[in-house]
Amino acid sequence: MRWDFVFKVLFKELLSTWRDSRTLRATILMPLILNPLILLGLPILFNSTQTSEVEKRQIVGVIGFERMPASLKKLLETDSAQGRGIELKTVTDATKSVQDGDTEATLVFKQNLPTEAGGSSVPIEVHLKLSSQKSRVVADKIGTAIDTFSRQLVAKKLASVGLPEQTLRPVVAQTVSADTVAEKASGIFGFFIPLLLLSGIIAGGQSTAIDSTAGEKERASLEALLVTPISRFEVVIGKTLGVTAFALLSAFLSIISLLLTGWFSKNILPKLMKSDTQLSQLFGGNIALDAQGYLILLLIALTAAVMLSALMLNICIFAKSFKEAQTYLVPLNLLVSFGSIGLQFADFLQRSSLLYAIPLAGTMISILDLIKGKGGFGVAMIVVVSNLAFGAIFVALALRSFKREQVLFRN
Amino acid sequence: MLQVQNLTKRYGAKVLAVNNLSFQTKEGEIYGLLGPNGAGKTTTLRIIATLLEPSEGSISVAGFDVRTQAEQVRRNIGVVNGGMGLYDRLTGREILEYFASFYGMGKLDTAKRIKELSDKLELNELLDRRASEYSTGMKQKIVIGRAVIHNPSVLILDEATNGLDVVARRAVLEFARAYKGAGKVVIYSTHIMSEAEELCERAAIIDHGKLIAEDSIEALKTRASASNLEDAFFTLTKGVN
Repeated sequence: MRWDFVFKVLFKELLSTWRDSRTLRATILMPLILNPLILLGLPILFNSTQTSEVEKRQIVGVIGFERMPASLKKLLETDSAQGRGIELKTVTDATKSVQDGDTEATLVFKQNLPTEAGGSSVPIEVHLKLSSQKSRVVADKIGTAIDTFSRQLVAKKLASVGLPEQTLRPVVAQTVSADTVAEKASGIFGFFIPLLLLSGIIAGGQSTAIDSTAGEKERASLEALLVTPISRFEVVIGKTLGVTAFALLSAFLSIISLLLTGWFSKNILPKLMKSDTQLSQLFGGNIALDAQGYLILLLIALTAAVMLSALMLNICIFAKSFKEAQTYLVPLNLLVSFGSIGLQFADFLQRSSLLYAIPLAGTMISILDLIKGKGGFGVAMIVVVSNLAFGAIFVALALRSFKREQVLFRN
Repeated sequence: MLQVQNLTKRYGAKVLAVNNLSFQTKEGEIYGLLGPNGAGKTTTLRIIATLLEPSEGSISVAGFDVRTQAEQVRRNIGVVNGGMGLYDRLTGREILEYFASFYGMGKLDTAKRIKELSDKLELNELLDRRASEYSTGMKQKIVIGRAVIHNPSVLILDEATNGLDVVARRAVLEFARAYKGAGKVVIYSTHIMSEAEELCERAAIIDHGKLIAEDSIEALKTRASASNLEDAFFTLTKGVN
């Protein structure tokens, strides 16, 4: 292989892509803007909507108002440290009023509630939309009020026989977080990080991949290149490196933006929001790694970029136009998106070398493990070797396509 | 200089694109490859250019075999076709330098050759502008410059005047004439008979992949008792279609 020829092709691809403003927007602006937007915006949005819901006085319907004790009514309506109370109103149809949006929940008292504990338990039906996040806030408020009312009855009964309230709860469980710093930082939004990283790699490389294959076929410049003394292998390697360079640039910027987002979330955001609680502690979506962790992350990203670049080159060479190649790449983007959705259930997956060796899936799981502080050097090596092996297979397949007449001259 | 012997190209079992085609060219001539669209001209030229593999037969360019000495063949040919495009985000000079680099040309040689071509093709004013800003005629001039940057002994022009205005077309034809004058071979493939009559000394008429006739332009007209090449073409290909 003549490396000077390879570098000529690489340099031409870099120059050509660099002068394409669309690509610069996709590779540089996307990670720099989109990552903070998602990783800061979503927690802020979740937090603010939840806070406003807690601070809101929800309307709750009641059927059998006369059976509700005044003390329970007071507990439901009174503001507390957990948030504002609720507003009660009489309704006739429990489910319909919730479905129509007249109330956010409806309480149905079919029997008189007891005034003291000791008899049989009396149920209160709570009608609400279980699928709605919004309903969970009102469900919490109702649940807390009913629980307090119930405890008050029990306490009164116990006091009547000279026993303290704690008699019924001799043992209390206290949950203490065993999460590491890395796990806390990644949190429930941690699955976004592999998605953003791999999407960044694909977004960064795809324009060069399309332009250097289908684009060259469309404007018939590939034919001119192939009648020069350069070999097809040198062409494929040069183009793969060109695609990888932009994929990596995008991945590198993604990592930088994740770092900055994490720092902003930890140090600036609490001050701006005038809150002691860090959003990263609530939702995560940030990275807290040591130097070795970042090195491993970079290594995984680098090899994933090589593998994905060779794969994109393979896909795009089959297309006869730029637009057709864009369509061909849609399934690859979907695969990464669906994969990241699946990552939410990654805790249930049995880890094995084989799992880490699966292209894309292994990369995504290893990144998630790494940011949760679980991934070690050994795991990273499996992913790196797998990415490089599949990268080599994809390069070989791309070379085969570059030699096939029906692929090169498909029109 | 160029020898094509019993060339056959099949696509699968059903399509016979080129059928036992033979011809040869001499130094310092413009050789026409004439035929209607789909006659097998482009397939033949792509095989000569080592882009496609022949199914049967042999081709040698400047003494090199297209199957076994593909790289040497590519060092001795330059290809221009009507649909060939440029890298829009590169300047004309960058494109010429890029292609020169694959022929082992040093910086000085490249600069000298670009200056020479720029004078011949009148590229000077626009050479440092991006190709996206070029007119169709200017693009075709850069395509020609790219094809001959290494001064090949065989220049293949395949439907090279397609889509060009009269001025650009004239420039292409004049360049072909000048190129042959330097002792090179120009293979001129076209379906426009008036162009071939104006430019070529000898020509092969092919249709459905087969050689119908091969001779000097004058001899082809005499054989068909025709006053021009277009009439000769219709007479000679009658019965083939």
